[in-house]
This record gives sequence, C-alpha cells and structure tokens, in this order.
Amino acid sequence: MNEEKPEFLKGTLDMLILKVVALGPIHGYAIAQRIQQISRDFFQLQQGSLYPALHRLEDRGWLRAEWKATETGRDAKFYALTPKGRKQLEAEVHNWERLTDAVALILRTAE
Amino acid sequence: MRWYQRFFRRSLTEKQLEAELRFHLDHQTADYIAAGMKPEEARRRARLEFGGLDQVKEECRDVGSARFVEMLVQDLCFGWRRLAKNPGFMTVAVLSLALGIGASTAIFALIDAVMLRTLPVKHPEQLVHLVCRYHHRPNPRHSGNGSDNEEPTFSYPLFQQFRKHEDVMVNTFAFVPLGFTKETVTVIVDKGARMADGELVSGGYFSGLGVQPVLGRAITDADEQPAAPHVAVISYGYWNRRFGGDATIVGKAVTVGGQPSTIIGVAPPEFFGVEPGRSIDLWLPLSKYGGLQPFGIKASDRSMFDNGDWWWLDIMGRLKPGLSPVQAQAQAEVAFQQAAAATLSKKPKPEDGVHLVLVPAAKGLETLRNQFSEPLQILGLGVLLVLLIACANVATLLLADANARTKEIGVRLSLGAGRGRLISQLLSESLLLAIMAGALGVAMALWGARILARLLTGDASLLGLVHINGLVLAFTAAMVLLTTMLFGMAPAIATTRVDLVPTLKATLGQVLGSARFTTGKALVIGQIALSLVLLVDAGLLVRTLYNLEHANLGFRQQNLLVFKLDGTQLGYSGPQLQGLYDRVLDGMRALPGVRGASNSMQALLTGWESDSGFAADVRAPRDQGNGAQWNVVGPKFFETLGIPILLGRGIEAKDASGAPMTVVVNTAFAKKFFGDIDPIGHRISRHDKFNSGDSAEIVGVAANAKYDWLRNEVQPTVYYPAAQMTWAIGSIYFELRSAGDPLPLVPEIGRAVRDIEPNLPLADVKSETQQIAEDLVAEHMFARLASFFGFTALLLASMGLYGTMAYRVSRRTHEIGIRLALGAQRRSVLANTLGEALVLAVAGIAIGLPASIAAARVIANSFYGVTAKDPATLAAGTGSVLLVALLAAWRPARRATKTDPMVALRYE
Repeated sequence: MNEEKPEFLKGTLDMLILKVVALGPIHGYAIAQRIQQISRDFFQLQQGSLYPALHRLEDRGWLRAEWKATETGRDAKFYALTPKGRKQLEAEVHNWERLTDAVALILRTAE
Repeated sequence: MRWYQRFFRRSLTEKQLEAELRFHLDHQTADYIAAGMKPEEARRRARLEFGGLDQVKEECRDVGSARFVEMLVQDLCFGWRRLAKNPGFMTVAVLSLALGIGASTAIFALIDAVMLRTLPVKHPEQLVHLVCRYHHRPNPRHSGNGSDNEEPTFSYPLFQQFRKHEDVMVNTFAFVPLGFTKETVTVIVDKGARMADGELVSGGYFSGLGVQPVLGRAITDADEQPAAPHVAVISYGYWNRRFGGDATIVGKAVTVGGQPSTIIGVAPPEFFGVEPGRSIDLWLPLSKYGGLQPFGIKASDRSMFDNGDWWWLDIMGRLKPGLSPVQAQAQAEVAFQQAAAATLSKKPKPEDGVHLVLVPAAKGLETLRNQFSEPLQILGLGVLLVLLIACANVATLLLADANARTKEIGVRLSLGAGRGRLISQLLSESLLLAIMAGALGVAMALWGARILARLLTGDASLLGLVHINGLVLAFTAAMVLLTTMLFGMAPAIATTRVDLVPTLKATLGQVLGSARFTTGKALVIGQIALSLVLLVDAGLLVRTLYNLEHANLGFRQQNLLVFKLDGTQLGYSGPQLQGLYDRVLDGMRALPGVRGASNSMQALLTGWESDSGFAADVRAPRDQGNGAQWNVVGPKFFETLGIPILLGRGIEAKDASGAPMTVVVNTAFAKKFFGDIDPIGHRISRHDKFNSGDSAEIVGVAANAKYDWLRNEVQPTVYYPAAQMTWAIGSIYFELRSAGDPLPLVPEIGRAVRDIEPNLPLADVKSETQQIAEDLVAEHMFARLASFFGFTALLLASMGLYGTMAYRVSRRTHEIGIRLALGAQRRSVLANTLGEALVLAVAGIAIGLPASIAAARVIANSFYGVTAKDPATLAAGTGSVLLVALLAAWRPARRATKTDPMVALRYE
C-alpha cells in the first residue's frame, strides 16, 4: 500500500489540500492533522510531501499565504483559498466524481 | 509572495521556509510529548514521519517558476568562476566564436540593408512598381527562340493616361534618372560648377511616397507644367556636402543643367529615393529641362514627351487600400490596355502577350538586390562554414577540458546530481562563452559590415544603408543560442557519460579516452575538410583575379587618364559642341606631361557599349549573324590608347564632316564579315541590309581591344570618326596618355578646360587603371574574403589538430613511457605521433577534395581562366593542409619524445 500511494496521491493531494483550506485560513501543520483526521488515518502520507504541494499551489495562484500569529504566540504561515483556487477545486471535484462514476460503471458491468 | 518576489528576496524566502517546516516539526513533537512519549522519542518519531528536512526543503525550493531563472543565474556564476581560472582556454574559445558570430552578423547586416529593409516612406507595403511583360520575338541579330521579357518603363503619354485611373492607384508617380552613370547634371552654385546625380520626377512623387521635406516644400503637379519656373529639391546629404547645411537654402538660386532654378526644399536625411544603393542629390520636375538627358537620351529630341512609342519612364504607385492584389491587378490591366491602345502608334500583336504586372515595391526597385543577392548568398555560405569550424574548434577544446573534470563530474553524479541538471550546467558555461563571443562579435560586425559594404560596391553607396539595428542584434542573439547548442551539446553529453566506478578509482587511464576521442577525431577531420574547401575556392578566386588583372586588354592601360565632359548641359549642340570638344582636345595636347590625347563616345571598360546590325558590301563567309559593337572616336584615338593598327590607317583629322565617310574596324569584325579578304576599301552600312548610299569605307583594321567588360571576349567592333557622327555625341570621354602617373595632372587639366569654357566641369575623372579596378571590384572582394576565410579556417583547424594531438599524447604518456623504457627510439615515437596526425589530415583531405570540386562547380561562373578541377590549385591546397597539419602536430610530437620513462611509468 505504501509503495502505491505516491502515484495515487499526486493529483488527489492537491484536491484534498484545496478542500481543507476551503474551510478557512489554516497553517501547514493543521492541514496535515485535518487530512489525517478526516480520512480516518487512511492517508499516512509522508508529512514532508505536504509542503512542496502547498508551495506549488501557492505558486499557481490557487492559495494565498500570510504569516500570522497563532494562539501559542508563535508566527505561522497561514494558507487561504483564492477565487481562482475555488474554481479549481470545483473543477477537480467535478472531474473526480466523473472519474469515480466511470470506474464504478466499468466494474459493475464487467462482472 | 509572487515568483519574482521570491527570486529577489531569496534569503527571506529561505528563512520563512525554515521557519515553516520547523513549526511543523516542533508542533508534532509537542503533540507526541503530550500523548505521553519521551521527548527524544517524540522528536525522532516526528522527524521520521516528516521525512528528510533538507530533502523537503529542496523540493519546496524546486517548486516555483523562478526556479529556472535562479538555476540559470547560479550556473552562469559558477561557469564564470571556472572560466576565469582558465583564461587561456577562455580567450581562445571566445575569439574563435567571436570571429564566426561577428562575420555572420556583418553579412546579415548587409543582407538586411540590401534585401530585407523597406523604403523609409509611409506604408511601403502599398507601393507597387509597374512592369510590362511580353514575349520577345527572336531577333535576327542574336540567336535563340525569344524569351519572356520585361519592360519596366513606359511612355510619357501612357503615364498621363494611366494616372487618370484613380480607382486602382491612389497616387501614381513617375521618375527617371538623368543618365545611366553617376554625376549626370551640372549644378552651378555661386560660380562653382560641379556635377551631381539627378532624378526627374512627376508631381505626385513626394506626395505619393508620403515624404515630407525637412525644409521648404516638395515638388508638386504645378511644378510640372511647361510654363512653371524651374525648381529643385535636394537631398539631405547633398545639402550638407555642397551647401554646408546652409539654413537659408530654401529659395536659393542655382543653375541646373544650364537653366536658372530655385531650390525649394530639402529631403529628410533617411530618404534616398526608391532605389536602394543609388544616391540622388537633386530631384527635378519632369518637365522639359533643356540640356538634361533623361535616361541618357539627348535632350534635343524633346519629342520624347509626346512620343507614345518611346518608353523611358519608371512608374510607381500606391494601391488603393482595401483592394485585393487580384482585383488591383485586374483593374490595372484594364487601365493599362486602354492607355496603351490610346498612345501607341501600332497596336501590339496578341501573340506578344503584352500585359501589365504590379510588382510589390515595398523594398524599392530591384537593382541592388539583383546585383548583390548572389554574392551575398555565397558570402553567407562561406561565413557559415567558418562559423561551423569555429564551433567545432570550441567543441574540441571543451572535450579536451572535460578530461580534467571527470573526477569532479564523477563525484557529483555519485552524490545524486541528476544528469540532466549537470548537462544544463555545462551548457550554461557554453552559453556564457557564446554570450561573450556575441558581444565581441557585434563590435567586430560594426566595423566589418562597413568594410564589406565598401568592398561589395567599390564605393560608399551602400554605407548609408548599413546599420546594426534591432533585427541584426536579434540575429546575433539567435546565433549565440545556436552556436551554444552546436558546440556545447555534444561535449556536455559526452562529459557526463561517465562510468562511475573506474572514475572514482585513481586509475583513469585509457578507459575514458576512447569514446570521447572519436568525437574529437571526427571534429578535426571535419575541420580539415572544410578548410581545404575554403582554401581551394580561395585559390581559384585569387587566380581568377590574377588572370583578369593580367588579361590582354589590347591597349596600354598604364598612365592613361579618362574623364567626361558634357557640353550639352551648357546649351552647346551640333557643330558648336564639336568645336568645343576640339578646342579642349587641342588644349589637352598643349599641356606638358601629356603625350597624347583623344576622345571617344564611350570610354573603354566602363561596361557601356553600343551595338547594332551591320552589313558589308560582300557576302559574309559564314552566317554568324550581323551584330557588331561600335564606338565613335576622335583623331589619334588608336595611338593614344596604344592599339596597334594592323592594316591601313587609324582615324585622322582628315576624316572630317563633309569628307567621305570612313570607318576603322577591328580584326574580329574583319574576320566575321570578310573572312580572309582584305577589308580595306570595302564599304559597310549600319543597317541589316547593305545600302551603298548610307555606307562608309573601311580605311584601317585595328588589333582587337577590349571594349565593355574585361571578362567579355572582344566582339567585332567598328570605329567611326567623331567629326562624321556628331549626332551620336552628347557627353564625351577624353583619354590622355601622360608621361608618368596621370592623377597629379588633374588640377592642371581642370584649369585648362575652365580656360576654354568656365562652367564646364570635369566628371568621372579616373585613371584607366582605376577604371579597371572598378570593373574588378567584385573579384577583388571575393578573392580577399575567400582567402581570409580559407586562412582562418586553416588556422582554426590547425588549432584543433594541435589540441587533439596534445590531448592524445598526454593520455598516452604511460604507454609511451613503457615503450621508451623497453628500448624504442625517440625518433620512432616522433614518427608515430606525426603519423597519427597525418592520418587525420589525410582523412580530412579525402573528404575535402571532392567537396572542394563540388563547391567550385557551384561558383564556377565567377572564374576566369581556371576551371573547377584545376589541378595546380588542388595540389597547392592539399599541400598547404598537409604542411600545416605537420606543423601543428610537431610540438605535441616533440613533447612525446621528451617523456621521461621513469616519470611516465609512475604516472597513471
């Protein structure tokens, strides 16, 4: 399972990050926690691979970043969704649903 | 932050990245501690889950579009540090490349000036030049079946008719130069008379082109009216040269062509007319200027303006915007046919297929392009070859240098550097070399382009057009990138194709040598072949030049001065003109230092000649057509020029008007029209059929002498006495034989002429030697350039050979040491190394010889007196290459013999 994950995750990781950030400005560590939480620990991703993805999404203009103080008083880099990012998220969710529908169809009829 | 911000604030970005990742790690650790783990355990667990901190940092850094630029800058800095440590290598590489890039940029600047640039007028793409096309019926004088011909000029009445059709062309204008040569109109300003280049233009010329004068006004339709006062617009250059940029120029009274005129305007500095390469000093209205000669036709025949059959005007126009080319062509055709029918005295036959073609004229008239497109293409090819050789050279240098870096590359590869990344880094170093070479090359081109322009035309006519502009710089940049790929790619790939295990061990040895060396050998062989091609072609061109310069002219060219006088511009004609010229002739003969003087309608070797059909009073031995050239000469012409008279006599003073018509013919004419019969006493007419009423008696036969071009075979020629052909003479050329160098006599001659007629300036003054040199300008240029290319190529190839042999020797030090230790003679080591170099040279020659012959066949038209397969030149070229190859290999070979076996055996 661990070997397959990197291939599988590349496109979907972006989508998951966008979804998590869509709920409100959030920093990297919290994103990692949430993904683990929501997916009920299914994704044991190398947490380090989160950050290149975050930087990539920021570079593409889908996320906006800002250094703010956290409750502990320490500064952290908070990411928020841009309008472009919101559109991208909608598009990716749409594509994902179509993909899963198609795969399900094939699996059902192939039996 | 945006990508460009990230680029410029790298240290801040780094700090933030560190802080962000650390935040994550610290929090994860804290959570584990809170969950009950021990601190070290928590830290370790957090680290493990995170992944390698530095690796994640690297991946984050790789994200982002600024990365490419960052990497490039990094590579360039690194490359610069490396190159600076190796200044010898850098200098050689940059110089070789700069030579190639500079030369190609210079040629491109010329190509841009001659072939690509549009006229400096408004919307040049709307301009068209009218050309009439028809099928030429076979002319009984020349052989052949006829051909499709073009007539780019039209009659004045046709022009009048055509310009009424405003549905096709918004502006139509006509123009005609004053004479075929330079300096055709006399301009007298405040008592100084000098000749200038003039052009007659219709009223719509300036407005049609959209050219606004910088001072005063332009010529309009009103100026074209017969009764209008004479005016002139001068060019910016002429304004500076002749009038010193006088601010009060507008309204200045001058005399042009014998007529009092007023200068009404000055053209903008970049405007030169519609023919690139031709400089115009004055524009005059297309009216009946007495004393002027539109297109070299004598002005006394003013009926040319009313004669519909006389076609001499160039017509250009601006198409109506919105009209498609097809529509414009169709409508123009209709207008043309109407105008032609209305003005021609005889309707053209339908089988002649006379029709109009609208030639796009955005770049002006074609003359310059036609003249130079072929030479420029050949030059461009030569330059590209040199560029290739330079690239091959640098590639060889890089390959040799790669040897020094194998260990470094091996270590970096084993540390995990991507091969692609290494290749791109090596390419950046090559790019740096190319950029430096490009900058140097542009500087060289600035200077080289001007020299080339001068060489091409033999004078300064192109200089004004040649600039290093944005397009040329873009070309240089493209060359820089192209050469980087050419010479950098192969070495970069080869360098990184390193077998890691042997590399990291101390014994480098021959394992690495072989693959890289083959590429090096191939490059050297290629360079040698290319330089042989260039050398052989250079040799053939040099011999052509030599043959031309030493061709038998048939007359003595040394100490001969030639100049032109034009009395018609001052109102002389008929007998008065003849009298004027006779007085000048006497004045010339009276000068000390002048051994002989004569005059003629056409000067020799200017490219001009007159020809016609002739008929003799006997039947010609073979039907070879009846064409011959003719000239009109004064008394003592043959003596002055040193043309021997073989039979009878030359033209003398007794061949005056009123006396029986006489001619002298040359040997070729005698042979063609009379065979072996003695032509003296026979008569000829200048018609297709002999007419004894209009014939002349042959009184002498002269030896063959060249007439129009050096390269042309001497044609049958007839010489008429000037006194009996006064109608044919307008301007006239004088030939003076001087005791010594003729040029110092010029001021005296000018004074003598002015004593006879104060406002008569000398024009086209040059010695016959200069005249011939002008005829040979192109050959000079080709020979010089080809030699330059050839020697440069050979130099570069020898450098390449030297580098390759040096590398080879250093690779084989170990082996050589063993052989010496085992008792081999040092001499045999020398012979061995030289032999290797010789093998490379011979291989190059084997490829180069057939290539040279093929290349020579391509330019065979330029040769004179040599063929493409000339054995002497081929042998000389081969010999030079072999000699240079041996010389280049000598030092490495000597160094090989000096190997100390003890040192070599320890060297690995």
